[in-house]
Amino acid sequence: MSQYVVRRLLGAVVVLFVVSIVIFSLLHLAPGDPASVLAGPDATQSQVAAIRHGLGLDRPAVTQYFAWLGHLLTGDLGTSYTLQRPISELIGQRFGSTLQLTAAAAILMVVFGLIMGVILATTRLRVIRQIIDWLATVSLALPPFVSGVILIFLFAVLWKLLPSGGDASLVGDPAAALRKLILPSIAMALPGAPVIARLLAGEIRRSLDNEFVLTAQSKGAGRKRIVWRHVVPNSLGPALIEVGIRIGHLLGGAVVAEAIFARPGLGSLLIQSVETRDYLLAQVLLMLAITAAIVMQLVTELVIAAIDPRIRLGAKA
Amino acid sequence: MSTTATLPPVGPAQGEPSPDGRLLTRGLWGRYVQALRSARGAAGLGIVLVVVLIAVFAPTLLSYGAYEQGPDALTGPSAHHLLGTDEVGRDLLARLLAGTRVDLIITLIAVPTAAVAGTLLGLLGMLSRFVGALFQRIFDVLLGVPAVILGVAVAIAMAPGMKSVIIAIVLVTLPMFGRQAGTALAGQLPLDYVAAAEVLGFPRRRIMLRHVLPNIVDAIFVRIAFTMAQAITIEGGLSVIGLGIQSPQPSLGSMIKGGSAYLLTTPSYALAPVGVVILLVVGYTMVSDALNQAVLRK
Amino acid sequence: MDDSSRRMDELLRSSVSRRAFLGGALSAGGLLLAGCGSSGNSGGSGPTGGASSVATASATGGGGNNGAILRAGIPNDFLPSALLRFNPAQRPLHRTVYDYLLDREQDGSYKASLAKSWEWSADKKTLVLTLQDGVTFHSGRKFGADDVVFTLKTAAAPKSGVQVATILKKATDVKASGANQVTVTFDQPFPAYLDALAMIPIVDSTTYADLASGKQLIGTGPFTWKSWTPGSKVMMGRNDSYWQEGKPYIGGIEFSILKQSQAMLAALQSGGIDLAVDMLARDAATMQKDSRFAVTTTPGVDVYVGCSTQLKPMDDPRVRQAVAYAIDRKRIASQVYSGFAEPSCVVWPSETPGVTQQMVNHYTYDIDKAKSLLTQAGVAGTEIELAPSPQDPGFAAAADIVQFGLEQAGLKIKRVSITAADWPKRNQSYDLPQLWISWIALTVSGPVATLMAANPLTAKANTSHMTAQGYTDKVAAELGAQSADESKSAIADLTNYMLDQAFHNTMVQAQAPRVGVKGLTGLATDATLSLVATDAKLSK
Repeated sequence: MSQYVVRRLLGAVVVLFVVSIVIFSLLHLAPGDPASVLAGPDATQSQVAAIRHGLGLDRPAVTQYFAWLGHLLTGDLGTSYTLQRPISELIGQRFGSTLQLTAAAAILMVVFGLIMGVILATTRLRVIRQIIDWLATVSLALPPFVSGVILIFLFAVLWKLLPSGGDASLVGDPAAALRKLILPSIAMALPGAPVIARLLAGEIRRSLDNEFVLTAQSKGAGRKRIVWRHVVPNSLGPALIEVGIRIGHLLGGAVVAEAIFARPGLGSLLIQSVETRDYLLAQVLLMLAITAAIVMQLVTELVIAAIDPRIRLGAKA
Repeated sequence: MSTTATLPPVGPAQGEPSPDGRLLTRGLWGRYVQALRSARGAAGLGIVLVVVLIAVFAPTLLSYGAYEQGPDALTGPSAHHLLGTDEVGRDLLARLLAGTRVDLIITLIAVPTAAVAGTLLGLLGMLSRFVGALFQRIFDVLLGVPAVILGVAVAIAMAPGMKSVIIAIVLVTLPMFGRQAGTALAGQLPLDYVAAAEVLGFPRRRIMLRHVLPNIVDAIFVRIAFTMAQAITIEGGLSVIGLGIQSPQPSLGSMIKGGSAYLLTTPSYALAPVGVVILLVVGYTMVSDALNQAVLRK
Repeated sequence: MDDSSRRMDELLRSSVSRRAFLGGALSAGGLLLAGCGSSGNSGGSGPTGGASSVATASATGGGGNNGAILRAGIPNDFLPSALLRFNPAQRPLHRTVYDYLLDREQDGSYKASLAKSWEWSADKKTLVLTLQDGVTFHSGRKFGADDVVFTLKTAAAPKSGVQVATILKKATDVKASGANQVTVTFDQPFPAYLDALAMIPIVDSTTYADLASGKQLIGTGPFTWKSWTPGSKVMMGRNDSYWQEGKPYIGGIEFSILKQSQAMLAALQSGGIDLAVDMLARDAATMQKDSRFAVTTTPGVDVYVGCSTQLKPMDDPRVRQAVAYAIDRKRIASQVYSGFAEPSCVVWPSETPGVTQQMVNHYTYDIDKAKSLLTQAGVAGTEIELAPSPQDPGFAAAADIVQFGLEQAGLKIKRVSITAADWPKRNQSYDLPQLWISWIALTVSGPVATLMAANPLTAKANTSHMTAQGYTDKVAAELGAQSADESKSAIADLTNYMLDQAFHNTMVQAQAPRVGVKGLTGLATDATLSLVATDAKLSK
């Protein structure tokens, strides 16, 4: 097991290293640079050159890359060129908003997925199965920008029940924060929930035929109890992997949701940094989003491997 | 855009080889036709076809072009403008149809490209185990990156527009085709007949084409249908964050972006393209499901 | 987003925030928010407001509700690191925490501020500024000539990025000639130097190093910088020892940074803020119908179609004139700016001495004329590139209208998208396509600042590559004008030349709407588009 863990960890580190090179090159090879953005369109070439020198952007690219990597590894994220604030501070301010959103979306996704999955697997009513199946197909078709617009139209414009966007501090103003979370987190949770439900339902159906269920039944346990106490926990594996991967991807999904719901989170900061070619900031945010996805994937794999030795062995092949 | 690359389970990638080592190619098309005749398949195909036909042929019936402007902005639906007008007085119906065509063109270029390129790259293991493994690792990494983030990366590298959207879609969807082919290949390589064929002196490339490809054709078709749906959502997501199709060219995503500012006054502006996105995605997903079931049934 | 003289800060406004950012602009000569307050209407006495939480309300005299905290929503974060520049991010800062030496009026005259008087020598080569006595910085330190010298030298340094550094550098020497006296000397007479003095906030020389990070912003202005949560809030308190006695009337300002237009609209409607600065035109148009609020508009800034005269076929003046005729200015004003813009063919504000109504209306929307000019030039059907500046989403909408007109006239238009990251560089290297759409906000600070600092119009080199003798001569005439009369005729001459050459086709003078509750009065905007709250009163 430990050998497996080490191998996966090393693999992830190598991937992140490669990703960091790709991101760095991408930003530096693309047109535009922070010095000219900072100087403003009216600046003269010599003003731009002075700013470029001040930012250290006239050094060789390789030097800049290793300087960045070195700082990153020591926890120094650097200072944003255009916003002139420490990047750690900028992320700190926006992180709460995005964390709220992704956490709420993850919870909704898991809860919806679990409920729908169990119903799908256990109901004897064909109609209910069909309805859920249909809902699953449709909600798969509802990426956040589609469901977001529909939700805003219904709940904010038409019925005026909830705010259309923005965010608030969960500590400072929990009521407002929650109201502003409802629509975006539903929009983000919608596409994932049915996938989780379907995976879970398939697994539950398989488990229901298993011995331990028969044993439990023979002991006289009720069906509901058997399902929730025995079958569901034993059927979580594949759905869990899906949840893990999806949570890792929520940070990316937040970019779109924050745009639709006008939330000033990390996603909108990323778009802003890309548009101003704020290299350091964009690099860090892209790395953050990708690292989150890779780490979540890794953690999920390791958890599953710990639970289920078959995967560990299989992965070795 | 839907952010994850993991999709609903697709049927077994490897079919059982027939005695002569070939998949049952003869029954192949028949099976697809049958799949599309199922309730779900027919409904899905019907939805997609109706949208396509309207988008392609209806504009000739309209009295306004998609780029034609007028003094009346944001009017809301009327007899002249069935869906109303946008902020510079263009007919929203004409733009919706033109935008749908843009999405159709994008998906028709991007998805087959991703399918062919992904499958070929996935089969590189045929030529060299090392290269094959390397590409599988690259696919894993790409699949690990959220789709939007990949899209943003593409937008950094080039000016946003139709080209960048197509490249983003290819990059996001190609790895699943590659992994699918790689898995199928891994399943075939150890088989006796491959070794036998090699011993007999058949070039590897030929083995690949004769034996491996037919085994994954089913899975490729299922995935193509699904990827069409995914491609529509990627275009939409990128355009909504401003890194997709640029004005004045309409697309479903850019209309949603434009219209979401006018939900109060001219809701049809955003809701109409939202409806078309849902129709297309549901349609493609149903076709994909139907094909998948047919494949499994076999 | 782009602009004020284009600044980066617009760049900072990502496309995510869909606000049209022309915001901010505005004008000199304070426009008061109309309507004094029917007191029952304060939208916002809610418990969430900052008013109650800030304790500085040491109201000065005046009684009533003076001393209330003004809660304002602004679309851009503050940008202390670029304090000395003309930039939309500075509009809420320059005239609150700081003062200028002088204020410039729209008619080109000046008003005393930190400089209580100024005097030119007979040969107009020496300028003596006499400063106000008894002015202290917020730190308690006495303000003096050294601070003025420090500020002007810092602004003129090459790295400062200050647009009007070109004007400041016309001075050969700036030195303190007394505790409260500054002497500026010139090689050549240059009376327009005063324009630059009306744009530079005077900083405290001892704490300047802490300014960029936002730790300490020390000025002499009516409000003190208390705290900054970047991306979210700025708190300003009342400067109790402000040199203009008895002012300011309000107890402080709480700025909320609301990048998304919906957020600003919602905050205003729900009473979360008393004032929306640089509101999206579309939203402001909605608010005009709401009796609880007063909408003010400000003089506009130049929004134009630029032509690159070095690229074919734009080297032919007939083609450029055809472009001028193909611009539907009225529709741009109403559809893109929701009415918060005046259609105009002239780059300068229409009040500028020398500008006539006839010049403003020189080109009307006339497709037939455009067509015949293009046919004469033999370029009908030619493909031409058009790039809207990415700095403001509104420019893309304007580009759609311009493109439509040009296509009606018989040109083929290829839209080019230049990203926000690339736009400044393309400007700096004068590398723009045949046609582009952008703006110059610097026009509000007068023709001299514009002609010396805005690179679409600078004479030696500009983005239009208009360096013909006729142009450089006429610009030189305005820059060298020694009196108001000389300036007036120089402007008339230059403007007619620009209209005829049609390389810089102004479409509208776009205004920035400011929407406040009716109880808010006395708010003004100066010639650098900065918010002036010195005389503001707020009754809740």
